[in-house]
Amino acid sequence: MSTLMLPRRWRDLVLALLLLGLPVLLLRAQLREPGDLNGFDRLLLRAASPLERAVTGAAAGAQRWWHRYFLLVHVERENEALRAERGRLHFALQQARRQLRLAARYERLLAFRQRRGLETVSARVIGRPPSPFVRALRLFVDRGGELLRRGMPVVTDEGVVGRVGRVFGDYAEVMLLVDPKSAVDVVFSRSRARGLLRGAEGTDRYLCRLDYVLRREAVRVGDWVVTSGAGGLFPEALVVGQVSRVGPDEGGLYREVDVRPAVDFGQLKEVLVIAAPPPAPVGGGTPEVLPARGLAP
Amino acid sequence: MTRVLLLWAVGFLLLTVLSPLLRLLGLTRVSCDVATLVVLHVSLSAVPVAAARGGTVSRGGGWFEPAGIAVTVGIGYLADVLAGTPAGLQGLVMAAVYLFGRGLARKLYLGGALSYAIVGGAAALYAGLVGTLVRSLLWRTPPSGAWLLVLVAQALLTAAAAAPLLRALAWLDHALAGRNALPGARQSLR
Repeated sequence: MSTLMLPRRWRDLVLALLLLGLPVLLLRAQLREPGDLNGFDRLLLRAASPLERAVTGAAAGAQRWWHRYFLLVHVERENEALRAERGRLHFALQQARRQLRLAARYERLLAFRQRRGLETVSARVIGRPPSPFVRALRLFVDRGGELLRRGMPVVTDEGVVGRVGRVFGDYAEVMLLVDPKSAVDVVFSRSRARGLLRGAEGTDRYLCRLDYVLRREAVRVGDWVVTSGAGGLFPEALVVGQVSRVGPDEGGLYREVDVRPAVDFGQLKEVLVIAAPPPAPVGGGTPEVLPARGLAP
Repeated sequence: MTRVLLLWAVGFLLLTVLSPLLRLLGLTRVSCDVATLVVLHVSLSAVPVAAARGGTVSRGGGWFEPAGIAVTVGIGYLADVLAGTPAGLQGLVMAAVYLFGRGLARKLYLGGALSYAIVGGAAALYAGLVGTLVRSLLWRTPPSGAWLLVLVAQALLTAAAAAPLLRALAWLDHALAGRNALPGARQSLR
């Protein structure tokens, strides 16, 4: 048993010396002569370096991917926020542009009213009657709705729109110039020839026909037609439209003349109602159809 | 011998890849003491039969096991070469860790992640203190309070890594014992 124990002790002693003595010897040698690396050390470092480089590269790649992932998540959130912000700004811009256009229109209307010295009530166009047989607009009057009366002229800075038809509270209907029941006494601004402007029957909803234009009058396409002021309904010299067609001379007393209104009824947003007393009906006829004084056949 | 070579290779690999991995995690001042964990593993599982059981820790055995000594000396040397410390410094520290581990293994039967973490952290702190003591004695540089904090942080990091790493090393031992059919291991695996 003792023979067996002795080698064990010796073995432990050798191993303890190896465990503790070898590092001490190495350290002592290193401290005495801190020299360069030996061949084995170089081999170890040479083997470790590419491995470390590969791990560093892989780690850097993983880090980049990770950061990019978070960056993308961040970018996506930012993108959503920016998109929402863009939507809000776009809406605000549209509102601002709309306000700008509205202000410009009101400015023009105001200038028109001041230039003409008219007493007017401003109104907003809110729609059109659903029937295709009626060429009219619906108006909403913010203030002064009680002043509206049937037959009052409706104008813009571009020209004549028509006349007030039915009035209901702050709402009213405008019978447009192009309605067949409408009739306005007009003159040609160039030749001062007179005529009676009516809405044209037919498919073109925004065309007028000029009646009672004498054949001898020199009427040309492009001539401007303005209100004559006769009858006291429309003030004088309001632009009505432009001659778009002059009928052939067929030997009669009158010529056929088509007029395209100056106002684009499809684009109307605001109008002015001239708050003048409407004309009294003449001869029990409809108040909308005014007699063309001096032009009757 | 195969086990010794394998553990050297594992130690070499861990020491090599540790630095970039820690840098990836943003840890530059504090390091995980993997060399200590490898030596702790061999000191705790010096008896191959116990390693082959799948547990890292055995109870009993002598103070000095040839394979454990070989792994410890080799790991200490590798640590010195790769870290750039004077040759023998880490060897001495690892020897102290080996004796620490053997002392524990002779008295206690350890198992479970928490005990691995505690033992790993304690071994890392012990290794840090021994290293600091040796450096202080040799270069007469007293350690600062900040350095001691670094040692504590390193111990905590090592404790966190102890359980998975010791388990992985135990798994390696187990696989090796099964494949190489060590007499003791084979017997235990039956």
